[in-house]
Amino acid sequence: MNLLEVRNIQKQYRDFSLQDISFSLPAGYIMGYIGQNGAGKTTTLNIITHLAHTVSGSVSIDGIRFEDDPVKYREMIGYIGDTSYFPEMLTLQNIREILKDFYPSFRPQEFDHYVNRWNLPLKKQIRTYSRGMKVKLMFASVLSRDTKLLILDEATNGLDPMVRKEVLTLLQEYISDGQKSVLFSTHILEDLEQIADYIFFIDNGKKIFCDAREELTDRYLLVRGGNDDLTPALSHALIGIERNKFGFEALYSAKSDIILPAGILTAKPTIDQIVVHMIQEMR
Amino acid sequence: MRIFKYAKIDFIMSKRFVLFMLLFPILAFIIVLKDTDSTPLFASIYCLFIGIILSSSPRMSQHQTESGFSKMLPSKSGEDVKGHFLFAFCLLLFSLLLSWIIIGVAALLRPQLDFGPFHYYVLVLGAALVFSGIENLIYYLIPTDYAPQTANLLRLLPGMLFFFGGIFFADSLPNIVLWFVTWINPLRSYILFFLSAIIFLIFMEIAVVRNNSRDAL
Repeated sequence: MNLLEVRNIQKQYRDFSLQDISFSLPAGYIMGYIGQNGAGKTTTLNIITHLAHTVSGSVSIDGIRFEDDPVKYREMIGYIGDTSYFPEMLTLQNIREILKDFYPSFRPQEFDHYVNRWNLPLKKQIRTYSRGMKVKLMFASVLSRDTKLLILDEATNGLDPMVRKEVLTLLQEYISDGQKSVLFSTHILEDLEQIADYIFFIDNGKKIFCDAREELTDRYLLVRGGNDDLTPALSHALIGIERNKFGFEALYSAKSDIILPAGILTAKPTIDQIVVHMIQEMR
Repeated sequence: MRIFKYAKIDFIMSKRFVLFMLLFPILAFIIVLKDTDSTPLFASIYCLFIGIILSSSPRMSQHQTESGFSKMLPSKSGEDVKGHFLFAFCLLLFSLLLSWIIIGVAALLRPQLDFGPFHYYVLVLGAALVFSGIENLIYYLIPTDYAPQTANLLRLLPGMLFFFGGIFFADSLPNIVLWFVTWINPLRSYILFFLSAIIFLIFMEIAVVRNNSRDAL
């Protein structure tokens, strides 16, 4: 069953438009939501969290739309952003009190467990927290209550490698019961290599592809060769050719009819490489 | 119930303004005690003035991204806005009570001090409600991408108008003030207060509609 259903959402700003975005995410999986700065990632996430209104289309979580039951809809979402959304003047104690007031499923002991584990100061204002501490507080606040969908918007940017590794482990633990899902927008595609099951690529407000990660990396080959190898016929079959004085690098569709000449090196591409060559092709 | 919870968030966030808020009652206390010509009603006007100014401070002091926290809390449409207006109402009541405490203490030190008619205080509270309602409505009418300094300046206008506008009116048009003082009686005061409360609620509903139609971030 699909936990998250996004159908034909659109949003118009003065200088940007999100165009007819649709995708679904089954329960128990992690989807990487990727794209360049200003591609529409945060706009999509804001529409899902209902912080921004969509001019058309619909979003449902576990079959419930915001319009049907706004309280339950919001209870099901755990959001972790690239910047802390907690009012900076509040303390951790204040946050704990507010969460306890608003979320019936909030478990104070579990919250305290994360707070102690990450050594977060109780009485200091959030403004004094480092970026890593703020991210940990956001995680503590969403992991200590019952949610269905975790939304991460560039949450791992700027974190040190140890914390990032811990966050990725937490995400895998989160979906381990097969009932919950994660929508993870990030620039750090290396993170997605490790944990994402699906990849959604958006550019300039348009969906470029949405596929299972394994299928995606199986669909292409990364090819490298000398400049002499790059015949017009081969160029036509390649995606996002990058040339330098030593040769070229590009993506090659595994379904292509053009046979690669001898001497061309092939390798399985990473998501990062697929995205870079896709963008190169579109430019 | 969630409306009260939102009002509670505003109270938590306004703790740091408490010291600032106490400055004006102290000033009012000194005026009531020293200026034998002034009515103790001025103490209430001073306190309500600062109450109006602070009634939207918890939200105005937030960065735009921080407002996402309260916007994402589970609630029905408009409950957060109503919670903010409830906070404003409670703060004005608190300001009035604070002024009465000051007047009470001043009366202990100056027994001849006359509290004056009760309905005057009710009337002043009604006026403060209208100005506070305007101030809180401005918060929702200002576009989210407006410069914070400009937004703060606009926000301060109703409180300033309540206080300095009131003083200017009293000084410039004494005949109208005199007529009004003789015209106003307890019943008329209570009716005017009731109308003020309705205006405050209308402003709140406009703010709800406005808030529902715009993006939070």
